[in-house]
Amino acid sequence: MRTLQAPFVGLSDIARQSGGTAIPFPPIFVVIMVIAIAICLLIAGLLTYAILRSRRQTDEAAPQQQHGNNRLEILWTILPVILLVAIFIYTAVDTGTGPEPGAGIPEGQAPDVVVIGHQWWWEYRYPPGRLHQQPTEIVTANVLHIPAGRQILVELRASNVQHDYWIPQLGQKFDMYPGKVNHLWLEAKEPGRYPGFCAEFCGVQHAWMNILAIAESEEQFEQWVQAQVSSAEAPADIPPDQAALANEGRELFGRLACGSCHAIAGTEWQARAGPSLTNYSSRPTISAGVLEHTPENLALYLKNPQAVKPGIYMPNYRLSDEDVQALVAYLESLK
Amino acid sequence: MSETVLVPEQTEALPSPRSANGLLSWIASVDHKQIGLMYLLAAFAFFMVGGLEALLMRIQLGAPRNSVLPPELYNQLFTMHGTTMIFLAIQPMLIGVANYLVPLMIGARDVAFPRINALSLWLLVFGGLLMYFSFLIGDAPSAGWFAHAPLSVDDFSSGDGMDYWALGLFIIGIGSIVGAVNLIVTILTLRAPGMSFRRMPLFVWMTFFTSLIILYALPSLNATLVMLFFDRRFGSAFFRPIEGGSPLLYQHYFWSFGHPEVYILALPAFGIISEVLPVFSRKPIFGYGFVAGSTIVIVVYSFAVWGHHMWATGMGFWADMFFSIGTMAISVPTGIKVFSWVATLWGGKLRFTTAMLFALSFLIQFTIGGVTGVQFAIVPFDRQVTDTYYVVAHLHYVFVGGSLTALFAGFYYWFPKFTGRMLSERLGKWHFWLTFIGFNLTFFIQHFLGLAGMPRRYYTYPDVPGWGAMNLISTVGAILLAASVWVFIWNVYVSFKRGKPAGDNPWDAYTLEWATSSPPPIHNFEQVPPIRSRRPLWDLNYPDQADYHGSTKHEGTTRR
Repeated sequence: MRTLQAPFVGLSDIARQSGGTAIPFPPIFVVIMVIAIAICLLIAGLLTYAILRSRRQTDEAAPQQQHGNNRLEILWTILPVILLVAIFIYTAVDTGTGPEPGAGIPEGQAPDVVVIGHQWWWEYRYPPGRLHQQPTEIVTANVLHIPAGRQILVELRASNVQHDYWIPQLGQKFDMYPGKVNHLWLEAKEPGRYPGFCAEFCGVQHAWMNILAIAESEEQFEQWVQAQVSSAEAPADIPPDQAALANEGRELFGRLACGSCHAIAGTEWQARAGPSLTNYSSRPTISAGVLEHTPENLALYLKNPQAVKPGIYMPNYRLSDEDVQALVAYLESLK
Repeated sequence: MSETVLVPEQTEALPSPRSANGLLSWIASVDHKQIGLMYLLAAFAFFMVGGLEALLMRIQLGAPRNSVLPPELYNQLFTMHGTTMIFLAIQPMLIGVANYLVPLMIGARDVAFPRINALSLWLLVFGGLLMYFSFLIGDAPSAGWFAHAPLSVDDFSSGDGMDYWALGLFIIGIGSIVGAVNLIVTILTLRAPGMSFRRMPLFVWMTFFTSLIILYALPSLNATLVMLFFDRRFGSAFFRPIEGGSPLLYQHYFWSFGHPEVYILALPAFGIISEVLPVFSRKPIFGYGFVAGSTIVIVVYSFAVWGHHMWATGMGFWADMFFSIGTMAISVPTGIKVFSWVATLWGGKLRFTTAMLFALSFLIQFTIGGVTGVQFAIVPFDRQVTDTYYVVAHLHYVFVGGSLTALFAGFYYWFPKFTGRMLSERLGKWHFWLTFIGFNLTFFIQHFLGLAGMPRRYYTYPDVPGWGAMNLISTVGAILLAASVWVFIWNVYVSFKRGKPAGDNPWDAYTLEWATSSPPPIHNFEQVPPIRSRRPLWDLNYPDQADYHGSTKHEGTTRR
């Protein structure tokens, strides 16, 4: 693929720290940046020279009253036209070749991942196909897992308002609208963590609708797939006192009707209004990036989600600290 | 013989700053000069509010995960900042200057429809107040100045704020449209003898073209606002996908107004620069015909580029290419202007007044904004940088580095005409340098912030390497920029009270507004000087070098 990805300096630092590689700027970026800077320098240079020239003049007489010069004027009309025609051809060729984002799904292809933008989180649905051969689709939220080194076809949808899905280093950005299907291509050259964002204003928590894409080797990705489909009923390898607390949390989860919004694979809770919590302990962030995922932060979040991420649809349940700890234990047991 | 008099003859002088100074003489005025000044005052008041909103946002963004402003308020602020600066500040300032100057520049007594002129001013003021009333009811609009559906429909913006926004803008839109008709008719019918189209000052040409764009673009906005309002209040479904409406239809409607609006804010600025640069270079404008004529391309093409706001929506390859080529094409006439301005300076005797300094900084800042604008015509580039701070930097280089800077140039240039007194050059230079440094500090770094991936319209952001530092620099710049405005206010206040008396033509300028007293009498001219070229006052003051002698071989001025 050619110009889909761009390095976006600060973000590529994050990718590099997690093992990703720095992507060079695509050629068309370099070309237009050079042209743009050259034009600015040309105008600035002419301006500076005209000013300095005028400062050297000392005689009092009015300068020559020149009204124009047809040849010069035609020249500075024609030259930009030629330059722009060349840039346009370059743009058209660059836009028209290679896997481009666009409306619908390319003919004869099936999406690898369906992304649905919600206010203010991302729903991911992996239908059985090239990425996995499980009998049912895999559903997760906010953190995208993909195998590195493969072109991923992403179907873009929105549940109620507009969003825009953008992982700068993996592909271009593209909008999502309710009632419309768009598609986008993503590719991670190397395993690593790639940050992304919602780039179309979508309401009060637009800022905390971050994306985290985790690109993995084929084996790691397969392990992740297995973790999504294994039952959540038997939390393994945790100490007994934790297990007791987690069970208490599970009961509380049911009593508070958390399951009327959230789904957990292998349980009776299969709602889609809020993010799926299947395999929750593996998520590196809380609620689309608003906090780093640690048990302490999760407790902070559950204590009052409206204080951490004001305006979201999850209400403040005014839980006691004990109840919060029980819920944290349960969510952390979802492996 | 009896004759029915439909409109009674004016028996006493209309109110003017000279005949009466009471508040009523201003509020009830139909004099284009008073209305022009009231436009400037009202727009400046809104500008201060919009600036305060910007400053609050910049403070919030000064550090990652900052919590000075709650998210809802931040979203209200950026919505109202955009709406205010575009519709209530920059556009009415430009219209105000045009209101004051167009009749003077063409040697007319007033605009064609003085009462309609007053109507458009007051529609602006009350439309703006109606919009701001939403803060008092506790629910300001927060869906962005573009108010894309479906976020802006009632399911997701359920308060009344969006309704105030739609109605307020609708009222302002009507004011703009009738104002545009007024200016067009004035320019077509009220030119003094000798003021042929080929001799009209470029500011008048640019106002004429701007008014044409307003006439065709604003109805598109108003229709969109009506549909949005109907969706919100009366259950129609133009834009509500849940009932089969189309959010993309909204974007097409809105941006088919929205991009022409950019030229509504840019063309009068081009006009101001085309007046200021020649006067302070002691030369005529270079390539008058190309500068005026190429603008027709802008007027026409401004309606064929809106799609470049929508390349991430999925319009399809051919639509993308159509808008790409249009966006590139429209840069050609703008480029012609920049080259003509530089050529006007070339070999001139430059006088570095504050007005000239603003005009010179306009040239470089507008070039930067223009060049980044052409970059958005490159679809794959746009799909990476759109909706990041790269766009924020670009649009502020066009509107602040361009339009507002030109307005300051024009204000320093015409203030002697408005008031009869000169603005202080010493304070003016302070104002200029603070503005220049503050503006570039605030916005140049935002190009890099955009290239570092920071999206727009975020009330806060994660601590990505580099983002915090760049945002802090931008915030410091914004504080300097805010300080510069107070220097400007102080300068205007002091100079208005006890500035140096200006006389009729302090700059040795060329165009007709300088042929009358400062400030001009209610009827504008005792006597309009003969108009035998584009520079009637130059001809009058330097008869041996007069343009009508045909001392230059270039076409245009020598033809009568």
